[in-house]
Amino acid sequence: MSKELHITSLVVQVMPHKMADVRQHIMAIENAELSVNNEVKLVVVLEGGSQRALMDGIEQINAIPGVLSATMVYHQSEELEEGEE
Amino acid sequence: MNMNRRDFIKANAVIAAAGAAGLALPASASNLITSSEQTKLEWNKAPCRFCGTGCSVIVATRDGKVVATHGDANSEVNRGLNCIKGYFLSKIMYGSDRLTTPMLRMTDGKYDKHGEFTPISWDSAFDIMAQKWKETLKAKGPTAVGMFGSGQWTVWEGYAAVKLMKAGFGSNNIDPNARHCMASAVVGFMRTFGIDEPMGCYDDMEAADAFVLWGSNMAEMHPILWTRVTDRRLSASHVKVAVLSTFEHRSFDLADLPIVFTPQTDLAILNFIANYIIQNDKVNWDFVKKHVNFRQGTTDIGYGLRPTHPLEQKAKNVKTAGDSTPIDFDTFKAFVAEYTVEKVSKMSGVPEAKLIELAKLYADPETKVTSFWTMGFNQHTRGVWCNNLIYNIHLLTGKISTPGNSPFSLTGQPSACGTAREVGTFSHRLPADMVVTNPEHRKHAEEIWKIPSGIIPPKPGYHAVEQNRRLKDGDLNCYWVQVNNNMQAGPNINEEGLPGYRNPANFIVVSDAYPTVTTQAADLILPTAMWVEKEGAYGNAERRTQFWHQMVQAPGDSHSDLWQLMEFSKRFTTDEVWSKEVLAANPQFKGKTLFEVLYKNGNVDKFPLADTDPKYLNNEAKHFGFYVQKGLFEEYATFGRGHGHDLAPFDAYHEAHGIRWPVVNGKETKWRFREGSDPYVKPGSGFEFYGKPDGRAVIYALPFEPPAESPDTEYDMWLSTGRVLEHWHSGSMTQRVPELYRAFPDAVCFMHPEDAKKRGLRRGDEVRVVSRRGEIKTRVETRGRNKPPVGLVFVPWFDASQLINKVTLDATDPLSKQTDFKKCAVKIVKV
Repeated sequence: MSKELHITSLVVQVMPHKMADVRQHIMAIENAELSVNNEVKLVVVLEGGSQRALMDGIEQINAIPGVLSATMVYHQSEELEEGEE
Repeated sequence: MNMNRRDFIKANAVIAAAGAAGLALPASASNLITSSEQTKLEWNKAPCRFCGTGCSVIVATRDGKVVATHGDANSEVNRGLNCIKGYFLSKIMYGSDRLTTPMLRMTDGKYDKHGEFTPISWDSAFDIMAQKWKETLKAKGPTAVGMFGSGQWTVWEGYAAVKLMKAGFGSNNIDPNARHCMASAVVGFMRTFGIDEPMGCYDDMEAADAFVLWGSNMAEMHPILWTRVTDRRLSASHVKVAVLSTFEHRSFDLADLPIVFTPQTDLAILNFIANYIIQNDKVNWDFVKKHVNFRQGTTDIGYGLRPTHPLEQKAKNVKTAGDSTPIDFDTFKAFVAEYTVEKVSKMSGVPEAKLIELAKLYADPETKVTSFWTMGFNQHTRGVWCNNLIYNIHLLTGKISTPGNSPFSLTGQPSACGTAREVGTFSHRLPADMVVTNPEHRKHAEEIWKIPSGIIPPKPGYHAVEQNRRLKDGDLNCYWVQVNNNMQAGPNINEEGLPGYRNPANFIVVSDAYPTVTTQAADLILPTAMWVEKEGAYGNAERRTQFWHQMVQAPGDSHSDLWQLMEFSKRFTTDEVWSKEVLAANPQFKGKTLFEVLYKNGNVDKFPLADTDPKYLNNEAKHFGFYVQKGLFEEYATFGRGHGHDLAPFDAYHEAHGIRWPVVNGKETKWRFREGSDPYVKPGSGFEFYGKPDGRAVIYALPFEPPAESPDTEYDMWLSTGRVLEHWHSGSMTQRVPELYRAFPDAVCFMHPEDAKKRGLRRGDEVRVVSRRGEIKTRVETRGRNKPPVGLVFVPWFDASQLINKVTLDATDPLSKQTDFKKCAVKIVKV
């Protein structure tokens, strides 16, 4: 059976004094991966089996204390073939 | 299987995000080629369909369907970013309940106001419309027909509509829903500067040292602009952000100076700041002496209610509300002297120290201040005054028209500026800031339109709120609504909205892409093409005009508003709509259709079909046989060229990612009124406010006056309404996107936990929100993104199952006729 794969990237703006905490929080979110950052911004990649799963991840990130905004940039969805991971 | 596919997509995602964020990636990561999946897609630019920010998006089509969108990295507005609504743009056209055929209320095959909606052909739809219009015009004349349009009309749709109403039917009864949104800003600009729209632009955000939000929740309503403010605040440690509102919201997260004030006391706070600047000798005298006049405005002007309302009868100066008299600086100084920090702190509930800190931002000559506002100022019974008073502060300090010094009125709709304001789709307006009350302006318009003199009536028509009242009273009988959902958006719909639509004397036509509360209240529904289903143009809040091509076909029998307007005009001849005197004096017009007079006038039909770009669809051009959009745009542009409103040639906009007017010698203008930046400013003058005959802007002495309705012992809470991030306006598009719907499915009543406790309420409890006019049922929310103070509740208005505008009051600013949706008195009752 085919499965869907959704991947999106976000730019997250963060209060500088909370950056370390925010990164910790994001690392604890399943299917969220940290990419580059500077002292006030970071890039997160989210992956999930549905768009809804991604929306939940975005909501979680938005709710982290110190996060000022989480803005989506890129989204792609693919059908995965059997055995593909 | 391909083990790299997931990694490949992730790498693409990271590159896009890092690029948008301006973050550098290791060189190895930026070396990817576009995936094969993407090459099957056709990508084109278009401005976003939602708010007035004017983000550019790149739209992907495949097999005649929009399948994806992403932020346009080449756009100066959003630089590759997209808010959550923009992200889901590709889905707004594909809701399962799209309207695809005209539908008329019928019983036994005949029109019946109480009948069921029945599919009919376009021909039959225009037949019944034309019959009703002609009967009404014959019986009562042009004041009994009207139109309610939108800041979501494309530029040429608004322009075609104004022509049909003012130059065709000879009726000024056309108004846009922008009346609910921007009218106070417009009158504010016209009073202070004599010309509409902001002098600055979004580039101010990277130059400002301080931002002050006056009744604007940018974090939710203009999220992409907010990311730019946030970037500036976080990248320069001296930058300060002040946020003023009647309740705490998401924008407070970034605030260095958070201020919650008692509703209506913004008027007092604004006057306090002016007083502080004067008392502390911070007036920029060089600027004020050369570029400013002082005037005293008329006071006690009423609340724009029906003339029979006790508040209107009590008010002394309803008829002369817009008047003012010249004064000198000392008189102004004495006028604001009563607004001391002690007094204003008491009125507003804001601590004195905070008021002084706020005033210092403006007073310090070294701090460049950008002020932002939207509905907190504009939806206000003294909204024009608020606009005038914020300009007072920027003018007293000379903090205007230079990068970072910017009083900036944000807009709510994608073309509130481009269409409603610049084209002039208001009941009193003509294109390029001209007005129907001025005989010279009417003459000029009639000349450009090549119609006989005397067609445009000199008296302004009914404005938005007045239209609903006149429908109810039976004075306005044929009514056409396009691109808006006024039965959900308009105030006091129980008493003033629905009775007019369902008045047996009236015939109501509503054009929309989806069923809404308004289509349900109509007699005839016309299915309408939207966004990239047609060629379009929008103008955003920073005077930026943006075009897009038609990329896909609309479903079923849907047609654009433009097609509908022009096709309907074929149903009338001049003999049926113009007076015998006019036709006797101008016999060459006799027997011609309005289509021939308005749209085949040598201007609009000037550009042949061959001028359209063969790469794109263009249903209207093909149907009418000429490049309709270009002809309408070029005729419209002649109004403003050479008069401070210069637009670029039509074709330039299909190339550029937006151009800011005035466009002179091929160059856009970022800051108006300043020498060296604005080509209209005379050399040697430094600044010139050329909208006024003497080149001087006006500082107005205007007092605090109380709101139309305040809480009392029975109705003991303030009600404010507004939007949320996920939904745009009435939700007719965003509610069709499952992801957005799920993110914020139903409206709630945000209230303070103490207010809830006092009433024995817990989070999630069902309550009635009751005013003197109506009530709704909703649920209590004591947590979450909006945190009202004790004594105030906030209810968003996107939810058609909880029509909060049954509760609101139709009090308007007497000058702008814009409704105050932010203040009325309610009680909260447990169900």
